[in-house]
Amino acid sequence: MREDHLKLQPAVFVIDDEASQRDALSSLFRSVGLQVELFASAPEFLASRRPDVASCLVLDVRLPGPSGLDFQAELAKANIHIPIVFMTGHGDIPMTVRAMKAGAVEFLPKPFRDQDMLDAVRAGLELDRKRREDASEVAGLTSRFDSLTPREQEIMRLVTSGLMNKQIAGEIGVSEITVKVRRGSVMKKMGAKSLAELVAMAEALGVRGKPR
Amino acid sequence: MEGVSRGKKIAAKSRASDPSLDELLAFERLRFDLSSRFANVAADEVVTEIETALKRLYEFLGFARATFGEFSERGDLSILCSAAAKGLETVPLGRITGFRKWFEKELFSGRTIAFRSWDDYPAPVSRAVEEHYRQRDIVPQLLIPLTVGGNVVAMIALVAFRSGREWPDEFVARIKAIGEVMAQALIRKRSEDALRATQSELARVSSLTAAGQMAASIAHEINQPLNAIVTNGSAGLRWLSNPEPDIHEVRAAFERIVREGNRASQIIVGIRAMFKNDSREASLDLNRLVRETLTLLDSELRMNKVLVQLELIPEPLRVLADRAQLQQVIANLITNAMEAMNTVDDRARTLRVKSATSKTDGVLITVEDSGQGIDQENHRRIFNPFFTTKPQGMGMGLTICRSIIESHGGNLSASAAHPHGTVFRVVLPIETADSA
Repeated sequence: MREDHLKLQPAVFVIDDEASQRDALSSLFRSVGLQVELFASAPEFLASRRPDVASCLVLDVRLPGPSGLDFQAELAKANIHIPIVFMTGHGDIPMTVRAMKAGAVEFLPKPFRDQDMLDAVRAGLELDRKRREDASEVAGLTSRFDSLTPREQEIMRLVTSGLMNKQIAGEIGVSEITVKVRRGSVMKKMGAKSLAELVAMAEALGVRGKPR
Repeated sequence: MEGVSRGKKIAAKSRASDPSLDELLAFERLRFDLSSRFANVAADEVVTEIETALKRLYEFLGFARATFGEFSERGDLSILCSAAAKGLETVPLGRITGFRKWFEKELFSGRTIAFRSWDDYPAPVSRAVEEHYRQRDIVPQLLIPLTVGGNVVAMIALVAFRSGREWPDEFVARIKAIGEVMAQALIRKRSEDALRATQSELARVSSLTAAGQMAASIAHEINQPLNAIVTNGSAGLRWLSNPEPDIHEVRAAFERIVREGNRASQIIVGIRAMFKNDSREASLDLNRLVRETLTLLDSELRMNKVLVQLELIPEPLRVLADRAQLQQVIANLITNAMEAMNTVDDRARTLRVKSATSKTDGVLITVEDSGQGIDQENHRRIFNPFFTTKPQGMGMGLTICRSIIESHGGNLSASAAHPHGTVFRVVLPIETADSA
């Protein structure tokens, strides 16, 4: 089910208060087969029900109401991770720097080359696709981690912090044999083929014990 | 007056040492006359006027020379004018030099210097000074520091011909009073010069800023349709080169290109009109000027979420005016209205621009906002130079607007709008057949 979502057609969202700009961009994106949704303002975008697909946002830094840059910060704060391609009518360098630092995909001065815009949007969509994939991977890891018993979870934490079986046995007050058996079942349930892989999983889940 | 009785012999030359009632009256008349002259003198004529006064003073007193100097804030003395009896040299103008420097510090610290004879001169300077005055057969000197507002700002110096004359306090006080009339006029001139310099600099800066803002706004206005044209053109080409070209999409893109091209051209017409007839009065339609100005400020207004209500009378409003200047006024009033509303969030930000004609007033344009309004205290001052309620404001906008409107024979006023905000009224004389 989750995998199916990733295969759905990606979407480009355009926010611009001028209909003439929205219509032109819409035509350009549709001409290369991209799915487009248009919004006249940032609040309108936030209030909409957007498809759960890889997406990219195209907007003018001079949005009415909160500026494009403020909106970028607002999205980051609300934990909405969507790559943004900015357009600007002025070659404002400090603004460009600020936007790029805050993670904008591209900053295009108007009028821009159509290829530059399409490249930027494709880069944004690719970024979002990767992020979604990673997110779904973490979701799989989480459910596997949840299937461990509390004792197994503890052993995973200790193992990935770099402790040896003997030290773990001493730490939690069981025999070294028991640690070995539990450790085997952790590896199996998590689907890890090596200790290094298990460490990477613990890292991704944020459950890795502090190296001692 | 006892102490001066021995100067009788030389009364003709030095009348102040033997004041009769007539003389006292004459002195008072001179003082009154000088006071009234200086009260009305134009700033750029102050120095000439001081020179004339000095001449009258030493002639009246039968003295050798009268000199007037100005102190800088640091206490440097410069001679502004000097008048002397025939055959005597005047003190060189400008910064004092050489042997004369000795009295600079004394005077600036507020002390009056009065010498009757050589014995009164301070030892370190006496030799050089003595030599100078002996050659010219003059000795008695009176140098008075002149204060305005508690600061020593100038000095007046009198030199009498050789005699052992006294400088009675009453006499010193009279000369000081006359000198201070001159000093006050001088200070007024100084501050008027400074104010004029600041004002012209501010006017220059504010018109530069306004031009810069206008240029940025124009660039943005033109860039928008250009960008739409380029994007629509690119999109159209892509629709055409797809394996199955979509003719409907191509047509729609072309239609948008035409529309945007026309829009750009409209904006350029507006700009051209704005810079035409640079400082010339010409017949123009105020309604049209209002519309054009609103077009130029369109994106600013939309950014600030301002709702524009335009209530212009259908007939053209002809006035004889300088287009660029009037546009500056209208743009300024609209920008002010916009800024007055940018904190308004609980009601609509409405900008209402109306036009009307009346037989008595001529042509009327009103610009009304729904902002906070102006309180009573500030209301009286909004047209004053340097008055501003904006953190970055210079306080020149409305001052300049009013002077532009007045130079066109009209007037600009403001009053409270109901229920919120402020309404500015521009009244201009209507163009008649004979004024065209």
